[in-house]
Order: sequence, then C-alpha cells, then structure tokens
Amino acid sequence: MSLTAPMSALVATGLLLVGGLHLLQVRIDEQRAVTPKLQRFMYLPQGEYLRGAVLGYEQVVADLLWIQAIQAMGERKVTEEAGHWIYRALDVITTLDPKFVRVYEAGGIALVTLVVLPEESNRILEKGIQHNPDYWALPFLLGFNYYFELHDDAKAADYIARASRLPGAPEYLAGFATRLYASAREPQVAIDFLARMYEQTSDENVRQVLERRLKEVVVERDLQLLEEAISRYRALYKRAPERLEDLVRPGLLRALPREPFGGRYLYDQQTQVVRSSEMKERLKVYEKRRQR
Amino acid sequence: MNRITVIALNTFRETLRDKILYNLVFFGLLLIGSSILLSTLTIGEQVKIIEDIGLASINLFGVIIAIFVGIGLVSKEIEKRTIFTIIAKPVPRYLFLLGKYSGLALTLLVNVGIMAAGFFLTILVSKAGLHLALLKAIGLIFMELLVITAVAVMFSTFTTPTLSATFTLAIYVIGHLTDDLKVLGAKMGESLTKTILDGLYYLLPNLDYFNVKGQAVHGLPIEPSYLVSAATYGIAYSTMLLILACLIFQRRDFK
Repeated sequence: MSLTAPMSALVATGLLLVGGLHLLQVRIDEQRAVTPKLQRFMYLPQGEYLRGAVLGYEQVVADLLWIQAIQAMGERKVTEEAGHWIYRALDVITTLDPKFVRVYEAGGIALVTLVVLPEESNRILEKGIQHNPDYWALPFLLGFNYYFELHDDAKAADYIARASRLPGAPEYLAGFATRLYASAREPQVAIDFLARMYEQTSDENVRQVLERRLKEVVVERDLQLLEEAISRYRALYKRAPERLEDLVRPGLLRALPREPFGGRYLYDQQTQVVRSSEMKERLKVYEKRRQR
Repeated sequence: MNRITVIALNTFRETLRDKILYNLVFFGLLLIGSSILLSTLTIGEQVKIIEDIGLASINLFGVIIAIFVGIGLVSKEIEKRTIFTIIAKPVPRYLFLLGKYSGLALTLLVNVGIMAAGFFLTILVSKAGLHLALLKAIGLIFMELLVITAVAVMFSTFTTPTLSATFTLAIYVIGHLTDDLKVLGAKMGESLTKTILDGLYYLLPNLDYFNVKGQAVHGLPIEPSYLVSAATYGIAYSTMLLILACLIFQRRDFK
C-alpha cells in the first residue's frame, strides 16, 4: 500500500510531462515557422564542399534536398527572394548529382514561371547542358527562355535547332526552329511553344501558370483574327459589322472563335473594338510575350 | 582448410545471435521500404529516388554492421577468455583470425543478400524495372564491406573495441576522401610534402573505387573491366590487411 502513493505521483508527473512537452513542441514549431522553409537553404554549404562531406552518398542527399526544394516551390506565393533560394538549392543539388536531369528541367521552368528570374534559369539550364549534352529538353527550355523572357529570337532559334538535332527530340522542333529563324511574330508560334511546354511539365503549379498564359495568347490570337476580319468586312461593305456573327456569313471567318476562359468575345459597334469578357487588358509588348 | 571452415561457421552462428544485427537489418529494410513513401513527394523520377535510397541503405547499414560486428570478433574472445581454449588446440593463430574474418564475411553476404532482396521487392512493388547495373553496384558495395571488415579485424587484434570502432570509422571517412590527397599533392609540386601525400594516397584504401551507385541509377555504362579491377583491388587490399593482422596477432600476449 505504501508503494502506491509514490507510484501514482510518478505516473501523474509523467503524464503531466507528456502534455507539457506536446504544448512546448507546438510553441517551438510556431517560433521556428517565423523563418520560411526556403531560407534554411541559406545554411547549405557550397555544392563542391558538400560533395566531399557526404562520403559517396551524393545521390541520396541530392534526392532529399530536391524533395525539400519541391515542397518550397509548391508554396502558393513564391517571392523573388524565395526564387533566389530555390536557385541556390538547385545549384547545390546539381553539383552533388550532375546527371539529375529532372532538376535542371523542372527547376529551369519553375524559375521563369513561379518567379521571373530568367538569368538564373538560364544558368541552371546551361549547367545541365554542360553535364548532359544529349538531353534535348534542356536546350529546348533555354530556347523558350530566350524567346519569351529575353526576347532574343535568334538565340532562341539556335537553341531550338540544337535541341531538334538531339536523340529523342520531337520532329516538330526542326520546323519550329525554322519559323523562329524567320522571326515569325505571330501568336501561333507562341501557342505552339506554350503547348509543348505544357505537355512537358508535370508540376501542377507550373502547369496552372502555363495554362493561363496559353489561354491569354489564344485570346490574343483570336482578337487579332477578329480585328483582321472586321477590317476586311469594312473594305467589302464600306461599313462596320453590327455583330461579330456578321463576319461569318460572308465567309470572312469560318466560325466565331471560342473564348478559352469560358467567357465571350465582346464587340462594340461604335468603336469597333473587340475584347474578351474575361480579360481586362490585352497582352502588350509585341502582343504575345510577357511584359518584363 | 577444414579448420578455417569450422571457425568461420561458428563465427557465422555467433554473429547471428547478435541482436544488434537484426536491428540494423530491420532498419535497413524499413528505410528501403520507406523510399516508396518518399518518392511520392517528388515530381517524376520516383524510380531514381527509390533506387538511390535502396542502394544507399544497403551501403550504409552494411558499413555499420561491418564495423560494429567486426570490432567485437577478436576482443570478445579475449575478454571472455574463450580464446584460450582455441589457442591451446593445434590451430595456428592466423587460421583462427582468417576463420573469424570469413565467418563475418559470410554474415555480411547474407545481410546484403537480405537487404538486396528487400530492395528488389521494393522496385518490383513500385513497378520500376530491375536492371543488371544495380546488381553490379551492390557487388561493389559488398567489396567495400570486405575491406572495411578487414580494417576492423586488423584494429581489433591490438586495441579495445571502442578504439577499433573509432579507427575503422575514421578509415571509412578518409577512404572516401583520398582523392583529395592526390589533388592536394599535385598542387604541391615536387617536394617532400608531395611525396608524403602521394604515399598516404597509395597507403590508405580508396573506398570511392567501390562507389558506382550514381552510374548504376543513371544508367551510365559500368565496364566489366572496371568491375574486375575494383574487385581485385578490394581483395588485394583486404588480404594485405589480414596479413598485417595475422602478424600482429601472432605476437600478441594474452594475459
């Protein structure tokens, strides 16, 4: 009997500690959450040093860092600062495992879609090409960056042409490069480009960004088509059409284009301006690329 | 020859009774299996992550087993005084040592086999393809374990288990960094330092020779001639260490 009292006191203290520890842990987690996850990459040593320190386990360490980097990339809003940390992480991962092509590929895309850091994206892709010269998607993505972000069609064409010559490259790439060389400033080139990118990507966040951009360019292409038809209508009948449907009947358009966001194309007879019900502004800079 | 087999099989049975062994193999298998879970966190490349984690687990747990079972082999016999009963018999000391080493090598082979089976099962479950390169990588991992075991046995002939473990672990770490000795030496120019660094480079085991995990996972070619050279290096280095261990053990005075 005399033993039960100290025993129950011990058990009670134990239980109290379990509860207390849980609360303490919750509190510490809150304190730690003040530092964003990505900033912890700050403590990552340089790839070259880490390579020696992991004693032959480079691949596994690269995998674990990559998984962490993906989680950070999956956050809803990626700031520019976070973008720089992502770049740093990608650089370390690819130094550890230079043949990890998926990192160059997904990282190169993420650095121009989730954030706008084309220089960093290019650096990652160039590093990837250096270590994996036979992998066509890397020069393809580099071409993408030069076309959309840096507005250098000649360089873009060079890289796409290079990609088209590599094993496994889709056949359309060669034609693509030719059109780029001709510097075809038409939205259709951009649509082709974005559609291929979309097919290539498996990251849901990036896909959403690409899908939105793709639709915006489709709207731009449709608006240009409609505007062209309207001016031909005016040349033909010496007056503006009353409705957009008027364009179809004389055969100026095969059918009215469908608005990709699910809205409608609106037409103002007075000003003869067409616009999408879903987009406030038209794409600027040569009307199809992202404004920097 | 027969005497070696008896001692080896006895050592094998003895190590199988070691609980630490089962814990390590269990954790190895757990880690290999958990790679399926981890691979769901990534985009694409699930197979790479499963293979990386599998090979790394086999390697890491193999090394831990080699060190922590290897260091106790000889010292335990001395501590428990069981060594006297063997030394008193017409068994030369070097045969005793070689038997012990072979027994542990057999244990390691079985352990690596179990972990490899778990690894291949994981690959099959995740519907990735098995390929021969993985087996090559595991083969060289086993070679690395043989060298490390020889290091552990060598140290355990003349010092305590704790010190042997520390020394062997140190050799393992250094063994993966010896390439830097060579690079460092090359930068020194012709000097005494360079001679010393070069000497160290050729004296210490280069354990990175046995690391083809990256090539295996990325599907890069691993030449059969390379496998042969690396395996020969491993066997030759282990033999050298065992001869050294026998020489030390021969002179040792048991009190």
